[in-house]
Amino acid sequence: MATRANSIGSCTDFRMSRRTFTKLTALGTAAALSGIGNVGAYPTKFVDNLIEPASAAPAVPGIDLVKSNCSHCALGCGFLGRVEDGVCTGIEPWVENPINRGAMCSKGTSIAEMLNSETRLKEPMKKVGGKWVKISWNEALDEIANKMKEIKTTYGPDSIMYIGSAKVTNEECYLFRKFAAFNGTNNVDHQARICHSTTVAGMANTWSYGAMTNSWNDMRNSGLIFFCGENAAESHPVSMQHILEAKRRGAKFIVADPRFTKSAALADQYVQFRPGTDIPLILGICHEIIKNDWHNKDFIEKRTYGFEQFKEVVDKYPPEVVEDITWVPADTIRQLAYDWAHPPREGRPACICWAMGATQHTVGTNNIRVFACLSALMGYVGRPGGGCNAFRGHDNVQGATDMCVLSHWLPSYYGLDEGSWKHWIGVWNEHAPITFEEMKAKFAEYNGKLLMHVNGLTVSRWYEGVLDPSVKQPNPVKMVFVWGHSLNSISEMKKMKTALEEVELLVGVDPHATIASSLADRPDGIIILPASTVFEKAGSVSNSARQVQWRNKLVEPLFDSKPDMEIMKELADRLGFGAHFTYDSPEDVLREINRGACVIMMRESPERLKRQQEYCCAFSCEDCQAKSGPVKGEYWGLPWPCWNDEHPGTPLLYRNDIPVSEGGNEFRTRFRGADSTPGNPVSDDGVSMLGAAYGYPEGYDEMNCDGTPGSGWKFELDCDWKDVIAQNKCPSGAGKARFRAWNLPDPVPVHREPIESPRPDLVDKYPTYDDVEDHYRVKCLYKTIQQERKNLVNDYPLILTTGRQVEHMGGGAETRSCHYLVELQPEMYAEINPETAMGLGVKHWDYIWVETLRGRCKVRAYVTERVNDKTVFMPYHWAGWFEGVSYENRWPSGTGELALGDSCNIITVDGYDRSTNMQETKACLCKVYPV
Amino acid sequence: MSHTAYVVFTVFSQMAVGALIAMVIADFLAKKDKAALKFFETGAWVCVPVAVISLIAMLSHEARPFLAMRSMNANLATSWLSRESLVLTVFVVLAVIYTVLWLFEPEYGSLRGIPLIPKIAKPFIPLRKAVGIISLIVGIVFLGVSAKAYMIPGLPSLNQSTTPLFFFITALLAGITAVAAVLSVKYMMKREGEEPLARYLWITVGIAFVMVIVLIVGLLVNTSMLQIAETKYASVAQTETLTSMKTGEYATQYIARWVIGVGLALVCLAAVVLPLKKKDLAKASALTIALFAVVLIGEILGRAVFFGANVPLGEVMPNIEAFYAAIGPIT
Amino acid sequence: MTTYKFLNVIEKCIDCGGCFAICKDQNKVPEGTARMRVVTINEGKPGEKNIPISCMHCTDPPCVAACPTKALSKREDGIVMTDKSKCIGCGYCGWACPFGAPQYPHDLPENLKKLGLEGIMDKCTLCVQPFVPEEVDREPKPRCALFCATKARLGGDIAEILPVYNEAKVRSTISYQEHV
Repeated sequence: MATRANSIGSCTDFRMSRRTFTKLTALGTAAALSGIGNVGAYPTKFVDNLIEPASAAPAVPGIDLVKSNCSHCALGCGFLGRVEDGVCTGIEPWVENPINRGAMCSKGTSIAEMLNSETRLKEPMKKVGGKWVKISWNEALDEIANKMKEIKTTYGPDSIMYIGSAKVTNEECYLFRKFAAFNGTNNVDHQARICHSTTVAGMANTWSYGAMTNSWNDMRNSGLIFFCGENAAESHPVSMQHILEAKRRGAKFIVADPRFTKSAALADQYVQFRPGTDIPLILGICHEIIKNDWHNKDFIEKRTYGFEQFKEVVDKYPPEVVEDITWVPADTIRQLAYDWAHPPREGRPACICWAMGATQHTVGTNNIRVFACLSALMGYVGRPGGGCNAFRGHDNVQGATDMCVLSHWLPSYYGLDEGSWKHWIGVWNEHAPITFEEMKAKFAEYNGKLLMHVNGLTVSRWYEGVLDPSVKQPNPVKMVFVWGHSLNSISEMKKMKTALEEVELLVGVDPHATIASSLADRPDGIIILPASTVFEKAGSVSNSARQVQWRNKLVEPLFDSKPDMEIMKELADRLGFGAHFTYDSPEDVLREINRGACVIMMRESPERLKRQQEYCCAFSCEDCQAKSGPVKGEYWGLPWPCWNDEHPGTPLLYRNDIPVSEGGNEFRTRFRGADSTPGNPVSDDGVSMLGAAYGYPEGYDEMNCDGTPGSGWKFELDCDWKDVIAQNKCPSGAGKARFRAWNLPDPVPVHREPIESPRPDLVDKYPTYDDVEDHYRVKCLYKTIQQERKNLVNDYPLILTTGRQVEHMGGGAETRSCHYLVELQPEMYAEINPETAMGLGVKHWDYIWVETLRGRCKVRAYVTERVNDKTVFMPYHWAGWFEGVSYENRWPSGTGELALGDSCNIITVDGYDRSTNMQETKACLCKVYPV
Repeated sequence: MSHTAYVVFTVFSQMAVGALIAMVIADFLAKKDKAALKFFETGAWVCVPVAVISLIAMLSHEARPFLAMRSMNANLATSWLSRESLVLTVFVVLAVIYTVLWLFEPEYGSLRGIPLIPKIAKPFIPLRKAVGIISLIVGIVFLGVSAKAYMIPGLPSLNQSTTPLFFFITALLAGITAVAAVLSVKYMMKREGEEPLARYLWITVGIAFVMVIVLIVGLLVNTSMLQIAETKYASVAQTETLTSMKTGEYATQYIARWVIGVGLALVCLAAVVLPLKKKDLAKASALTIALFAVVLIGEILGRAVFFGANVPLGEVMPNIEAFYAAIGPIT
Repeated sequence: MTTYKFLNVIEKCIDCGGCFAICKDQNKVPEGTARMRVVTINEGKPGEKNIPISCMHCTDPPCVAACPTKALSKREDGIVMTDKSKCIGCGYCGWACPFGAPQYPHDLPENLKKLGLEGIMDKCTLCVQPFVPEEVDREPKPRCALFCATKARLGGDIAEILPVYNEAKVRSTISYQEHV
């Protein structure tokens, strides 16, 4: 079988002839081939095509093939950068990376073109007197630092907003959060807020951690894959490789979506439902499962809390009621319930997958909670092929979330309380001197509270911090950093434009000029700095499945760009705390993270990550585990929690049929009512929150390093947990998952109509929340505006929903600067149904106006049956036009994107999730008419 | 190549063949009547310039016309286009020789004044009829080979037996009426050659009339043939062609083709016959010019529809059958 | 004997454009023309399918038979190659091809026009020759297949990929096609 008996060598001298691959691929469903005796480990059977792995190609002098990972979505697909004489001339497939096995979508395959793009920002620029002027780095950094000092003195540290990035390395995310802290504010946030913040809140409040429970590859093991508000064929294309493989093996693939998406086209069943009605749909399914007694009583009793209260709510959502709300026939709901409870492929669980379709609502947190409840009902969590799979967006949004570039947390999900601050100051003090008192002195007070312990402004509503004088901090925001974040993915763009024009200084830091440079119509007060891309520096990145991969540097920073870490250090030097941002290497920063990130136990060391990369060929794509070699037993990316330097990583969260030492895990004893004591966590109604665990049927509480009950596991830096793990215990405790989350506004998820609903009668029956006076420092209206707009459907009869295109990513500044991708998708459009089009006298590709209460967009009409006659769809990746008028002349010359278009987030609704401030971009009302 | 180039190339090359056939007919019609030969001689001006126009049209739309001139004959083994190029070359050479044998004829040739050439040509003049026959045969072969070039599976709408028929009709209709029109102009300017013109016009009218009838039959047969296809994807392509012709992009041109190229042609034919019977050659010749104009426009329109409404298989929705067929036998 | 071929498991194609983009990047195909594209039929309706189209390197290529200047030829290993120095841009191969694979790029940038490539036929060469022809043929390595997101597109030696194709096409006995 092998061409030669290898002792384990690294992949670079590992050659496989084409004949061997023939034998490998030609074998049927035979046993796995890996790890047979001492022979070099081959990848487990690849069902699909493989020609020679790129790394097996003979080395060509002068050409390096450098391992790296894509910078677009949270799959983290591996590729090899082809570097000749310091220039990246293209890419080759990295066939052994177990996540993607060489595969990439159009965005990934365009990496070389984007890296070398001529429209990248090449040097620092400043807008002066209405014109863009080049300035030196020193000039720029001096001016920025001086302005920061001035603002802090005059208005206070909270008058600077730090909008950070999901597209930098983990190390840079960590430093960015630290940077905001050292600048005395919690007004720091990033894309996760508007992407999966509700996922984190929903999952964490049900299971204890807020991340994807299983993994991309793990879906191959599934019996039924259910998409609810997910269009993986466009947002996570390579994940379809695993899903279609599961389908080929007999799994059923169901897509629930308001549109007949590209994913629905490949599904076994497509279920069309009304935007914003995810909760009743799922509760209807739960209703039938409970009614028919199909639920997993053993799991529910042993490892969950709150089922009775959950059932009380579910009883109010029988299929007939749900049909009226959701467009889904009652019989379909019954059939879905049966399928969910009885997945094909005997013995295998079902998994539920989602992305923005579920998260971006006023009830986003509840949506995710109800998905988790659906999974808990059948006990599918913690099993291969089961779980709750949140498909996260940007390449490092998981990492940025883990590093908590967020206004309500410190890195690794520590809160803003004194204990958490002291934990991190302890870690930071090991690098350079800092005390708690010194840190405290940097922060301001407001209304008697030290803002150090108060949630900051969010990316979704930061502009209110500029415009709303009643913002809950000493002064409004006067300066903003748009540091690696697009602005057209944030809603209420009109207000944001005004805010950008009102701040005293706007600083954009990005490889591209982006609309941070051009959206604001102002003659001065903008400085833009060219940041290097992730391919011009080394660092780690965490994908949605909590797998951490190390990106090698492909090329030196291009043009006059600098890595973000360096920019932060330069600013920190000028602000007087440069020592805290001076590191010898990104590896050193990761080691600091390994030390302090205890809540998620992110102890993936740079050495282990690089070793995995070297022995990538040992990893199976079935379960991402290495079957031989020095990495034997490790899981790819050492998914957190990774307890110590021997731990293989935790690929499936909450899986407790295996010991922790092999990747097992329990629900954390995170949920503690007021009457809880160490060793005895109880709910707010006195029920024990200890759950059945591996080897300990009574469960156990979280513990200190010596094994006694307590929360020490989060704070003890020097504990390697080997003793505890040797006893098959999980340091974070063994608790229960919650059907009822007593701390949330809706302890059990209930249906609430979107702010702008097409059904006035349902608005009365299922109203939204009461208005909130202080929602991350700004006022947030719910009931008032929903009531005002109750009959809006008479004037704005169509539902507007937004989403992605496979060719573009995020705000689109990078992808719309790439020739290949622009050829595929050259213009902004809105999908409308042929009936709708006929009624308006509109032909395919005519220009139309899509209008809401916020404004209107001029776009092409894309006439298609993907949407029904009640719905309009718009992709959100577009910018450069504002209500039909191009502002391309406001970009610095030569930096504008190749394709411009109107931004749908000018017109999406001003509704926000009740828990996290996530924007409701998936459901509002609009009207359409020809230009 | 753009469609215009194909239209001009095919119509004019076929017209050239027809013009040569017309001159061969004239040659036989005149027998030894010098006056008639002198009259008919002007018609020899048609063939070569028209052929040259068609060659320019073809070459001007290649990316590399000069290379094309040298290398288009390279694949005679399998390429009908290569073969067409070769046969056309041979035809043009023969047509030039034949034309020289008219225009440089020492007694009545228009170019008999030019030094040297008439003397070289003189001994071959008696062979002119034979040269004519050979050229005519090569010309007809060219019509067939040219048709075959478009009768490939990749072009289902053109892969019909009406294609060579249409090419033949164009040749005779356009070519013969072209020569007739030139002779008519000559008559109207010089008022000489009444008798040969009259005879020639009768032959023209006869052939034209027969060709128009054949054209009507051909057009009708063509539309019904387009409804039958061997494969699913050819059927889709042909249906798209038919739709385009009947109600789509090319409907106007198709109708115009019928109205002008058939309807008006018949009207002109009748209009020529009536004065011709009364020996009113002035009117008959004027109307012959009209007949030619109408026929040429009709043929150009018809060829424009032929190429324009045609939908190649490669443009039909992805051809999955062909894709599986292309895998070929697996060893 | 290696015989290179493409096979598409169209039930798995998600129209992600990866093949389009990597082909352009690897072979430096200019804007406005593509060697590889994905065509969607029945868009937005049940029965929606995506079909990756490029030169299929047919066993009996109609384009090779049709070319008047013998610019097209089929290598021993099955790859159909274009000798751009012989191509006159007549367009006949484009008509002969049942997939419409041959492309005749127009409005090329000046540097490519100067090389005489305007209107000259370009198509997939299994990554053996980029858009601007090189002296030495590269090794066949169809990147569209190697990078295909879902492994729908298979490319390589037919003996290797045909079993993979057959296996991928086989579905378990359960079949659930339903639509709401």
